[in-house]
Amino acid sequence: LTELWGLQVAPEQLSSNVSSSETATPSRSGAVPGAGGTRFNKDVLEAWTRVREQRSPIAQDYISPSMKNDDLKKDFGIVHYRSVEREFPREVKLQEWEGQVQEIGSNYFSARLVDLTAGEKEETEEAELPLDDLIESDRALLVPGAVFRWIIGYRYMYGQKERFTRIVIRRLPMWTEQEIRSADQQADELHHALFGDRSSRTATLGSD
Amino acid sequence: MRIPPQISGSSVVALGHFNPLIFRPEWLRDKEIALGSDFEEIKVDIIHPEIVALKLPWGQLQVDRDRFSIAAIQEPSIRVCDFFVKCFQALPETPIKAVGLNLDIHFPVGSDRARDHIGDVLAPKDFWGDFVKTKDGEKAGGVRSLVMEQSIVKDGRRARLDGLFGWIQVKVEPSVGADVPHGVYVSVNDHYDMMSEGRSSDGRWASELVAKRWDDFVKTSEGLVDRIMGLASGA
Repeated sequence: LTELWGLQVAPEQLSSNVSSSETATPSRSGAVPGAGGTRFNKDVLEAWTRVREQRSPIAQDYISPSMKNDDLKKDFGIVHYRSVEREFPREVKLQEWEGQVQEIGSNYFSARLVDLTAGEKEETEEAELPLDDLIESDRALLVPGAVFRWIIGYRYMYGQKERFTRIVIRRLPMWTEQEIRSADQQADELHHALFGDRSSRTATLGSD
Repeated sequence: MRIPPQISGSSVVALGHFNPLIFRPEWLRDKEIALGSDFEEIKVDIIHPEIVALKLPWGQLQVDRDRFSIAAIQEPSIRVCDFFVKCFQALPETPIKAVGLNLDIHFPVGSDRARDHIGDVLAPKDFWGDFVKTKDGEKAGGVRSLVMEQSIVKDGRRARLDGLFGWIQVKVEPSVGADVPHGVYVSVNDHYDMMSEGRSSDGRWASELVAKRWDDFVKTSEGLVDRIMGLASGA
């Protein structure tokens, strides 16, 4: 263990500089993740496929000089470029809620809301929201019990500043094993609080 | 955050071994990962055995044989978490060796003076003396990029303060080329090293990890960005 400039490093790292994280967003200060477009060099991609298929030294002949040796793994023939026109306007989020759908009417749906901006964890508000705020193709996802995020903010577009509201139905993951274990534990604790432990419960039932 | 970001994005990146061709729009629909408008508005950049790149209405998916990345540039950012978790719940055996949660923000600070103040606080110039000053005492350069890392060494590997292997890096740079006047760029990378005794972990573990950690990641990283924003008001 060595400490350099306040940064603790493992011995094997001393031989080289601390590299930036491979799981960081590839963007730098001038780029935005996911913005812009992607161009593909078909020749490089085909050469890549041949390299994988042949796995022989001859395959090196098919690939561009920039792909040879150490650069091989980095060059997929892909160029990420910034779009001339930004695809997404600047948005400023003012408030965000997580909601659970209760009832669905002909023009509105009702929901219970958790105010995430206020750092709340429990449902403390109820609201009726217009169905028109939902993208038409997402209407089928709106069912009682569905979980959604509701955002209010403003956006800048073509020199104008305007308010917007966005409802996004969450494509919720299945329950994770940890969530199931946690729910089981909570159920056990609740049961214990109401009826005592299993042995005393059995005894109570048996005495009836 | 005390200054509304001009541009913000979030992403989840995984390193491992992937079969890009799995991640076709139809598979995403069949597994209920991209439904409704998410599926209908997918634009295919490329579908190839080496790489798949799809544009979603709110972000971008890119998968090659070694790297999976889902990025959102529109709120709510929870969509990248849901997307990642559902993908790897459907692919629980996928070998994954690292996962990174990322937040990238560009925000304006109002003046070059305020921006320089942030650089001066994070990297004081006294040591550099004449290297970053002209003969007339004018500023001649400054911080171009600064990375601060939270990590300790555990069993010879970098580990986080929460005990898991990995690190948290915060990068601060002047925002250039992103059309943010007097802008500052902050990137937070919450990296989890999932190798154990030379073996990769799997999609099941990665999805559990991201589902469990996402909310705290957003809260912590927005707090870090907000702290840096606070320096702008001290100029």
